[in-house]
Amino acid sequence: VSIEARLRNGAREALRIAAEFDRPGIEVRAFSFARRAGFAVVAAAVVFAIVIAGIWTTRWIVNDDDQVADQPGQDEPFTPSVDAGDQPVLEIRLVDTSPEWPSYPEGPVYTVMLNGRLVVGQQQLPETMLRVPLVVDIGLDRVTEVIEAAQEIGLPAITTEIDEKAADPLQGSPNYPYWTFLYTDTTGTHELAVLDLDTAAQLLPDERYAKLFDLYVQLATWANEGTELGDLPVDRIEVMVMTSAESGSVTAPEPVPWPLEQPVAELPTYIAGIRCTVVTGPDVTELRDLLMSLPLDTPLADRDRWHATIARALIPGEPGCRLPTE
Amino acid sequence: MRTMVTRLDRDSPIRPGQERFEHFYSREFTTVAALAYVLSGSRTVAEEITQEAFEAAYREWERIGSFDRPGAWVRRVVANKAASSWRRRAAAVRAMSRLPATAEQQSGLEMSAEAVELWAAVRSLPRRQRQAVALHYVDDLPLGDVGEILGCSAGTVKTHLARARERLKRDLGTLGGEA
Repeated sequence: VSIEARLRNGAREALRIAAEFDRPGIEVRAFSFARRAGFAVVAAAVVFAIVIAGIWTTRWIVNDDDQVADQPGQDEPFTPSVDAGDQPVLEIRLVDTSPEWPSYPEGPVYTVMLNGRLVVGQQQLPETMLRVPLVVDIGLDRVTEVIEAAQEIGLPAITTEIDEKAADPLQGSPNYPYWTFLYTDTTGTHELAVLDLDTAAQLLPDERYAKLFDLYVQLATWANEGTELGDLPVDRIEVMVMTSAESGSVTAPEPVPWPLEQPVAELPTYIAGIRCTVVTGPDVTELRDLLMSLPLDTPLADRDRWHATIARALIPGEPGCRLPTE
Repeated sequence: MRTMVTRLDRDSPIRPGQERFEHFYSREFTTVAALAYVLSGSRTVAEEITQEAFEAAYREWERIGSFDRPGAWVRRVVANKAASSWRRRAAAVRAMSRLPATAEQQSGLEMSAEAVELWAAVRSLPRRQRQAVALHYVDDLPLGDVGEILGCSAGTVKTHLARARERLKRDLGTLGGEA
């Protein structure tokens, strides 16, 4: 039987079975007039409260000289310092979230660290549950170059102009690539999310867009050089847990017991249906060895429930359990 | 049985000439579900992914329904969801939570061993190749339409299919055929 014929036959079987699939009904719940009126009243009350709070806060800040003086780093130029140890002082991430979401483990991530290391992304160790950072040593001079380029682009300045689709690509076209730049300096972390470089071209003046594009190309070039692949110590592991309501699965291999003392049910919620925690201290070694010994799809069992997990080693200074747009 | 529930404003009619969602859903469901089935390898996960895709279209139907080919939009969502390990796993977890409700339906038709082997081999192909194979054979779409969904040219789809068939021929140890 030819491959062509097998594919045609296989397709017919798939269609025959799919015709039996659970097909949910459709129910439309329309807003009633009373409900609309209720929403309008609540919305008006919220707006009124926000306006009052804004006026009160503004008056309080203006009247408090110390408060104004304490605004961090407003006029201070950022200068890289080699004394900052292993903590990243500049972090620029280019996360291609398409077509996956959330996909930070999958897309390219460039994190520039002060000590001259460029974290290219997360590498899935073959057939294991643990992802580890993939690191390229690029040198301090290049770090300075990136910092200057990022400052010239002024990434934080256009944050507020981002199309709201960036918050959830599936609400727009399902396949738009978009990048999130997280730019951290001494004043804090700033974010720029754009649907794609074409969108950035519309948002940025030509000159700044050209610099943004150059920066992207530059980072990608350095990452691809990859001649000095380094490694970072695994001293913190982010574990995301997707919880099931029942034990049992049609596809999963045999489960292993949940390895942490804290039950899954007590872990902080990341988004609905997913919990997330950052493991530190003595548990890290045990957890790392376990995750590296398990096949990728192994469920973890806790209190008669099975859980799918995604684990990755965090880079120094990375908080972990952070939402893509956080 | 699940029910898609969406708040719709009665004052937001579909546009003139736009197909009603119910008709679209009824016509496209089986093919889209089969696509999800072969790409995910799991009936339970496929049901979940298919429903998610149609729910997404339902919420935005006024806009998506105005596209020339809203079916391509849904297929792209399903192809991406089913090909993503994260999404497959998330869908599996959600589906697991409803296992008791769906257990009775699992006793329905099953694929033959030969078809199971075939689609497992397809899922081991590179992402674009397996998506192209599923869209071309399960959905019976011409190369241009597959390219529209995957965001590439018909020529690229043809290359993906040729490479996929070569690899399948090698992996399954059977004779290859012509497209």
